[in-house]
Amino acid sequence: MGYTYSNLNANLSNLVESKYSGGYGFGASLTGEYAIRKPVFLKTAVSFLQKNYTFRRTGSRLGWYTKYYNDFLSIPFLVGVTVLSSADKSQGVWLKIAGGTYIEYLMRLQRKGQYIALTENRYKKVSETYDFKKNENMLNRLGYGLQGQLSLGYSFKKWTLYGTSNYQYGLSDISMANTNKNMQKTIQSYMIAAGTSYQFN
Amino acid sequence: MYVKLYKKAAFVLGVLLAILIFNACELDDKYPITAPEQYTKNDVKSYADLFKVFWTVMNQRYSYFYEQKRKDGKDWDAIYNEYYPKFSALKTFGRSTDDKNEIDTDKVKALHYFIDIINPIIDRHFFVKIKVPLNRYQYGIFRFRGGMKEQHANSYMFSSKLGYIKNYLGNDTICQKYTAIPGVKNSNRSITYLMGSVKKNPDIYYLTYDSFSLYLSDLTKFMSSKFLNENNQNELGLRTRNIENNLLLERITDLTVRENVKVLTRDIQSKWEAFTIAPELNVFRTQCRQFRATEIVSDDLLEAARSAVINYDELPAYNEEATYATVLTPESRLYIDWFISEMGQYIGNERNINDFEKAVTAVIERAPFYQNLLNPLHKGTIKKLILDLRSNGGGAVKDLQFFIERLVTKSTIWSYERTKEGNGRFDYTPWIPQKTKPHELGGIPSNIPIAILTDNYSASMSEITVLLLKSQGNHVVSIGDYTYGATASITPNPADFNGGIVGSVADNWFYFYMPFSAVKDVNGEIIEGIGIKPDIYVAPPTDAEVTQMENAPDTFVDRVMEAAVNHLSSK
Repeated sequence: MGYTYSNLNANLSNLVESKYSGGYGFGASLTGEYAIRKPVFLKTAVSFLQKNYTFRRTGSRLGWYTKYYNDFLSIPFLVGVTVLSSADKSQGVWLKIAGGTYIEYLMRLQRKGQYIALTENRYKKVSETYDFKKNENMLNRLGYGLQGQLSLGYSFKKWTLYGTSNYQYGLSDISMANTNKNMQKTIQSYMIAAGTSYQFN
Repeated sequence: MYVKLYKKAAFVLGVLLAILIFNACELDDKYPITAPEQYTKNDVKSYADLFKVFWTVMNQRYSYFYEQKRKDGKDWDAIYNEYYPKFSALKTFGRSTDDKNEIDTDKVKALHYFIDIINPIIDRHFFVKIKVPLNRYQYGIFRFRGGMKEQHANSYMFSSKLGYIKNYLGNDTICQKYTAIPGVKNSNRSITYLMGSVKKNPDIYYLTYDSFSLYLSDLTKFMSSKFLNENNQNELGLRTRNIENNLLLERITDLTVRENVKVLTRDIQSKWEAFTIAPELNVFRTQCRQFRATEIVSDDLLEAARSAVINYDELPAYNEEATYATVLTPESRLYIDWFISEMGQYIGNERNINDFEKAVTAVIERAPFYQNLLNPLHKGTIKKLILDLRSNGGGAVKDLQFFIERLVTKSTIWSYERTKEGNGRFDYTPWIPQKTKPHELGGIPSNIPIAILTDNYSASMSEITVLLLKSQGNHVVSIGDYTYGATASITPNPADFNGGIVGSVADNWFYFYMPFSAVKDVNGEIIEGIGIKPDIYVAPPTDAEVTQMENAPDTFVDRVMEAAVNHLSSK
């Protein structure tokens, strides 16, 4: 379990005083690891990841913003190596790095923002859960990308405590309607987590 | 215990991870996207370019692509794939060697292509003017809009209504036209309205106007000038000593002329000074303060304005040469010019006499609108209302605050609006609820039956008004034909909303008029390009009726008006 930090890569060069900025969220994973041949292992997980970011107007147009709260179910497929390990197989400190790919599914999107209500001549706060049935913004719920991971842990025989740093680089466009690569929008996300694991022989 | 290091494996995986992270940190805006405003004539060298710029501007700024796709099934990429090759096949663009027939054939094809693409556009405010080659040296400008192939029903044109509606109204009928500047008859911003109680049923009051410019009637903006500020009233701008010891006056060698000109200018100055502190003006100031607090144009305010004007008109015209005719000599001219200039400074800048002129003129000119409509509505003496928006194509949003909110008694959601946000074709904000708000000072005390008359030319703010007032309850009904179906908002500053565009593109190859938003009604239905279905449908006028309403207004029977009177009489 840990914290995530995500942002949207988007080219807004033709828009005035507009930017995406990163946002923090929560993440949790149930991980499985299988040692192929020391020090190489395969790793997968079922992860719940919040990938949040904010669109906002800046400068003279400050005041309009949309906060995107994306709840993803993410499944990575990683191959890794144990870089450092104790000679005692069952006990001691270890350091692992892993890399690979992931697929994800956008389970829920909540948007909270502030906008100008023109006929009321004032800013107004709006909060909504995105309707994927209508999917007016033509969002792509399925995504994929590359993932890298660095983990440091300490094993006590069967049990292990560890901390991990995760990085996901989205390759898929969040929009299913975009055909212009220069206008592609992808999410990148970091996660720092701590966990515990149990070793089955 | 010791630690074991797997060097080779760690190195390989580490390098891969480093590449991944490095790539991720690349700058996002590697290839800048051209905004519509950045296109120049150099971007339009062929029909294919002409189409591509048009397509791209729409792609970036149009707000109804989602609804558009649902309606005609074609997405914007399909349009590109279909028409780009067609436009590319037109080769005569900008070439001086082609003969006229070839150029003409290409032009006709290009126009047809644009009509085919633009006709299905559902946004009814939208239009684009496109420059197309006519021959080797000349270009034509052609206007395209959504629904341009559609036939529209006949309308109750405003000019015709002015003729025959008076037959339906009583002796209290008022028809006025005024502009943004009180007292000025001709201006590009004006409002014409017609109103009065209905002969058949005097409980029903009728109002129609040519556009949503009723805000021009707003007196509050004329009532807050410095001139009306009490703290300013005893300030002496042009002091007597400036006249007494004036060097220019001393230079007049003819002592009689010197004395006469001194007496005359002191007299002019003192009359103006006296006017600024005259009791009539104080009464006017007091009445203005009361108006600001109540928005009621009382008879006392009107009388005070009239009295002040009478006094004002009697003042000597300090800035006219004729006033000084008896003392004007070559020697005295310098002094008189100085005096006129000083008076101008004093009267104009320090006493804000222009604001005073505007205020009194506005009160006198606009009082009938307040005294016969706004104030009785607020007082509750108007029991039923016909709001005739037929052939009213819309206007300014500020009319909502100035007038429509006076008919609102409760705060309710009446529509939803969204704008573009990011760069994608479908990057929209959430739907933003638009709520009604009762008028702060001049609203109706309780709901009254209201019939809104609509036809196929009731557009934009007329439709906003229908949606807004119908959100108040069943006491509001719309009668007539479907409205036009143009509900999205326009702004001259589309950058404020990341959508829409109003202005030239590519050095006048295009002129776009594109709203920045999309609107749906309170039930979530998009009415853009469809119009609002009336509660009571009355078929539009036939050709014979149109002729009759224009040529024989005295005998013309307005079926919509009849239906509205019957409906309201039953309430």
